Amino acid sequence: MNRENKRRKYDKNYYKKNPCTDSFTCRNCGWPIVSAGAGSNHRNHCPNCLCSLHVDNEPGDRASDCGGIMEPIGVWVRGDGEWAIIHRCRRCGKLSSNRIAADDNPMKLMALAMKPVVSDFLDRGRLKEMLSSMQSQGDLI
Amino acid sequence: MIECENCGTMYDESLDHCPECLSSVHETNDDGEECGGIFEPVSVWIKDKGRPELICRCQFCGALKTEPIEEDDNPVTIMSIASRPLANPPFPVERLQELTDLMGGQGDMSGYYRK
Repeated sequence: MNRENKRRKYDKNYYKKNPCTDSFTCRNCGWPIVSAGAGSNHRNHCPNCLCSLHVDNEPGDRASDCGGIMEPIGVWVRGDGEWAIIHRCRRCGKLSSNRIAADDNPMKLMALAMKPVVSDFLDRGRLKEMLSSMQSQGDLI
Repeated sequence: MIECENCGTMYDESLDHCPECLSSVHETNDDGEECGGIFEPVSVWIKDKGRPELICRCQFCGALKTEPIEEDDNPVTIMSIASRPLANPPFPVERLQELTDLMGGQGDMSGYYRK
């Protein structure tokens, strides 16, 4: 174990090769987080508020000097049909995409996905007009 | 006028992305090297003050960027990008009803299943 601690301290790429099993508190919402239960060895974000921390430049290198809170701004569907959360750093604006975990708050995920759909930035009239003009081509008969 | 690399629509060079498929070309990456991949739109988010932005991801190198949505952008494409996650939920949608019940809300889907 002593050797392991030494490696963790001095090997810069330790977390690229080994999962981090430390438990910690969420910097944003104060939720106590353990590494178990994510469905993967690498826990990336808080399962309650889905926020993350900007500590890596490349996955696992712990080389970023920013340390800001990365808040979730959206979800997207990857090629394999799995959801991924897009995080944006509050301090420096860096974007990153991360797989969702098994114990993520489903309400929060759904709220994140619904946000652009329910907001009224699109002109409903124009959308309706466009859909009705497509109907002549997209006829099912 | 330039031709879109992805869908072939002709559009004005002053626009950041093609108004039909909302794609653009990833010219140089962070290190200043040429990439040449196609930035495909993956998601939409509302920036503060209600300004909508597209989140684009390079198909070749995986880089992410955000771009403001223009007036002329096809609303049907934007809507299809925004609703893509809803068509592919990671858990059964019925579970949402249990959750809203737990939270004391009225999330029953009686209207959906009613004949």
